[in-house]
Amino acid sequence: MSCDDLLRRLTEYEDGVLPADLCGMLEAHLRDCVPCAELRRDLELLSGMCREGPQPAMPEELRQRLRALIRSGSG
Amino acid sequence: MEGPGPDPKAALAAVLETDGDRLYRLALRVTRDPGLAEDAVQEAFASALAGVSSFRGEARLGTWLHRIVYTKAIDLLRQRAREAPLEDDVAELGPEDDRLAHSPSWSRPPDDILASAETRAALEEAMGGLTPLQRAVFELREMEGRTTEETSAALGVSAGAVRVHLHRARLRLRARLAPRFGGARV
Repeated sequence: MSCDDLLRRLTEYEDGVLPADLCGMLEAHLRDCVPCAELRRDLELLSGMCREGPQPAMPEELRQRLRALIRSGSG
Repeated sequence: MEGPGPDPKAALAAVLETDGDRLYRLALRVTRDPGLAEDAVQEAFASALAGVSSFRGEARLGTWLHRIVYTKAIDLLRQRAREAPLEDDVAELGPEDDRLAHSPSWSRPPDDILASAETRAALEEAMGGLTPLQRAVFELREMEGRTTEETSAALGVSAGAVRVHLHRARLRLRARLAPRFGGARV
């Protein structure tokens, strides 16, 4: 299988739903193909970036409005 | 597999406390506009309040709210023409995705990228190049750490579609961030 064929299956591999034979092919490919290994490394780094820093919270004023909306019971 | 329980309003109030921040972040990610995000969340809770008595729970209440927030956010985007026309989200990977997969690699050391104060802002800016659905999938899977199945239930798309849009979002972001992180400009 080509780089493209295997890379299209990367998220299936991560989710553990890729058939075992394809898992073996993909793992071997990622060991041997430098551009694909770099892509995989960059995507892991991208995931790491998402876990850095604070996440925005719901504005308190909106939360208060929603509490009042629910209490009033009318949509 | 349960309904909202004997007190639907209390159940919704509980979801607001447990899932409120996540629901707001989903709306903000899709709309990229704090005002629109607030409107989407408020309209979603109003709709949920009107329909919660008939909610029979094919998913948990919080998941149902995620789906309503996502739908409201998309509706508001369309109504206010902020991203009109919305780009089609093709549900199969194709040659354009393959081309993106061959974009230049990032050459800056990972620790430099993660430690840089500019990194988060660059990521937020790059998200502007994603479709609303790609942003929603990326938010739930990568930012919130939800599983593919949870994301599928929250957005009302198949698990296979979640994987496609996640892969495509990642490839687009990698390519868009390459000039900043040391790859050649694409």
